[in-house]
Amino acid sequence: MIHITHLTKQFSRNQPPAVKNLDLEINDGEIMGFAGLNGAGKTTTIRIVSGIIFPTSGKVLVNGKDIVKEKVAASKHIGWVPELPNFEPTGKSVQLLKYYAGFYGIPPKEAEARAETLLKKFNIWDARRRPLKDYSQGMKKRFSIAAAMMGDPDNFLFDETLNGLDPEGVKNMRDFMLSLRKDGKAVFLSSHILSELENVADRIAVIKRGEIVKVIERSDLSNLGEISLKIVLQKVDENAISMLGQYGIPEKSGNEIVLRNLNIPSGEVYKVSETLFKAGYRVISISTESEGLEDYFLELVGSGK
Amino acid sequence: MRDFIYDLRRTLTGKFTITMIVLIVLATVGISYAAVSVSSVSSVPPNSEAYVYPAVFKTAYGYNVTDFVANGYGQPVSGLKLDSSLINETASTQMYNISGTTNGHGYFNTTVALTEGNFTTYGYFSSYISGINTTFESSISILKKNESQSGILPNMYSWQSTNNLSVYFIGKVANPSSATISGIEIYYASANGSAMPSGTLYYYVQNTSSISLPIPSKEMLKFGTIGGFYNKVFTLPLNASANEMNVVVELFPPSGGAQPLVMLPSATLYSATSSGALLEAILQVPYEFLIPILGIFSAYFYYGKDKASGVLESIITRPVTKGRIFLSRFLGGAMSFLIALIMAEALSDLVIYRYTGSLLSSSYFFSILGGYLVEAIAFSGLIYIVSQFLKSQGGILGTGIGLFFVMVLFWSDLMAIILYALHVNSAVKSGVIMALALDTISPSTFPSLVIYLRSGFYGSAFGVGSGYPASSVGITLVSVILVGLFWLFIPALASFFLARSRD
Ligand SMILES: Nc1ncnc2c1ncn2[C@@H]1O[C@H](COP(=O)(O)OP(=O)(O)OP(=O)(O)O)[C@@H](O)[C@H]1O
Ligand SMILES: [Mg+2]
Repeated sequence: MIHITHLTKQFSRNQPPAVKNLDLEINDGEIMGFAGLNGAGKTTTIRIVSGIIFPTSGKVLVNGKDIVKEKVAASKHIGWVPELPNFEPTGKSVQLLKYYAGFYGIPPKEAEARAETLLKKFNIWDARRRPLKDYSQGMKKRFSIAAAMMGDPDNFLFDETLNGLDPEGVKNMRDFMLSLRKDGKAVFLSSHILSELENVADRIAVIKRGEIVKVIERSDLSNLGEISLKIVLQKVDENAISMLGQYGIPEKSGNEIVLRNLNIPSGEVYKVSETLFKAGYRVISISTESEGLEDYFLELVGSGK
Repeated sequence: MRDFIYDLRRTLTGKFTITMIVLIVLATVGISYAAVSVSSVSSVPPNSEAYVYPAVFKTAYGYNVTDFVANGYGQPVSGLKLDSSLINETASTQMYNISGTTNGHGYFNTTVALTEGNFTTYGYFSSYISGINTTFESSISILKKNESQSGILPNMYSWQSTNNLSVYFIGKVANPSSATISGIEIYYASANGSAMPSGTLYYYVQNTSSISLPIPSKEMLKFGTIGGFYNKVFTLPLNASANEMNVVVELFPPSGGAQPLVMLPSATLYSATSSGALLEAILQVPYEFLIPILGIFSAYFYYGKDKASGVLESIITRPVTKGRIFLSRFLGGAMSFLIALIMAEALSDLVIYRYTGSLLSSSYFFSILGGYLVEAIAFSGLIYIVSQFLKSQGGILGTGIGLFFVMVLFWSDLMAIILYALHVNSAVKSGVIMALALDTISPSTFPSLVIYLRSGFYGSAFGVGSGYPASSVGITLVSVILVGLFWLFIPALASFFLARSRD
């Protein structure tokens, strides 16, 4: 569990604080999304929680331990996956993981076995003889996750971890995070793309200029992130609109109807086209859109005046 | 604490540490070996040398042969096999071979019954006994009544009396407990086996370029009356003023007389070149560059590089604090230097031992160690400070190299310019103290400060006139220790507190 209270970080006097009076709680068995535009303060927050930089004021408790005052005890429970993984370029994976393991008091033999399991799990075991500088970006990312798991921490900080992965990588990573949640871990995952978080996060904290502007709960999320249907008919009439009313709130523009607030699960969208078809309408196209979430996000964080 | 010890152990067993220790040890031992083997006259330690003091007396029935063998310290060598021959010079094919082994007192005595032929020469051949080489091969003429001879060996002179069938040897020997002062060995043998009669030993330290030998006894310093022995080592009461000077030693009969019985016409019996002085001199030039460079590089490789590249971040998120990672790296570096310097000094000491026959005195050992250890730690401490402020590897390394140029290569020139600009007169004592104080601002001068303290002398190495007693310019044990503590702790503590409190 991570408990952040009144966290402020000011890098220099003549700059506004990068993080301002931030309060957040990430519970065990919860995936907390952390969304914000570039420079909003996501990385800064994560680096404070991981103990790399010091807060200007405020407090971070990791499993009840203060990351500044009880650094060693708090860090035992933190697994940090950086935005840009940075490891000893000439280092080799097993040897480096063993080095990290030593800080947790894991004996070398056990550390070696653990390193092997993790490297295999993340599919980089075969690259163990190569120096880390020869790893691809994705491999480095996977290695840094293995490194974060070495001490078997209760809390994970993922900084833009989904960013830059191929579709298969994104899917694997999501499954992995869901498995962490199932194991009761607290997961903090930042991204500057809200929709990246929507399928995985239980809650999403939105940060703007260092301040949390909104914590979107799962229930809000399903409303917001709800897909809308864009239906193009050959001919749009009042009957069609009223008929679509049973599935949500239709809105007409030309021969296009946008159906919002869908009250059927996304898997049953076919029912809409079925209904139209049975009523004798010619459906030219029907497509799902989730623009509502992004709109909402941009509204929240947009630079606006 | 466990995290600190864990990272310290890893630092100490890391690739850089091993490389640095090997580099320092190999460079030091290599340089010492090269320096010693070039300047060395003999690479055989004195206790592995064997000198034969031969005496052959012709009797009515043949020849009495008495060989005494002593090592380079003048101590008897027992169990040495000697091969020698009596040679008839007029019919050189006529040879009588003698073979034997020295007894517990270093003597080999034998009687040869040879009444025919006139054997006039006694010759030796190098022999070998485990670990000991006889270092000469020589021959002497056989003493008969009313004959005399001299000059058998380098640094060993004999004189055989014309009237009572006796032989005197005088030679220079090393002193087993001091590499500074050499002893002289006097050996006596006579046909009737008696001990040496009384004689008076005189010596003279030659400080003018030419003298005529022998020097009359009244112009020499009297050591004392000696006699009643067969062989004995004496140490003359020479002091530093006899350093590297030629000393003439003469043994006169008690009655006085113009002619000495035996004379050592030229020998350097006092030489301040101790193992320590030698090592100190050998290391001064290479270490002037090596130590600060390694100090700078060690800080860069142990810490600065990782901090600037962000590699340190992946360690800091572990259960450890910034302060402890700093300490383990810093102390790991300091301990590597300590280990490297001790090993380098100890091994060089053994190399030099073969030349001087003495080991480093503890004052030299610690002054060399302390001087360079402080310098290395100070330079690495400065780079630890730089690492707290600069965010790029190139910046840190570049500053380190800049520091080397300014604080090592050009420091004395820069200080000279400052002194000139301030119109400081370096010929007066206050100017000298000012120059010394400015020099001390760079840790690169600390090893020489220690040398000034140890030698008690500050100033030009050439000519006593241009220097000052060290204490008169403020170089005292207390002031040098204070400067050393400053360089050991101030950069380290400053960077430690910065490392702990900064992002
Ligand atoms: N070490 C630093 N010194 C000074 N300012 C900094 C430092 N690190 C971050 N900042 C500033 O703090 C603000 C927040 O940066 P941060 O890296 O936390 O943003 P972010 O939300 O992670 O952005 P991104 O999506 O681009 O990764 C930015 O204005 C940035 O310039
Ligand atoms: Mg970021």
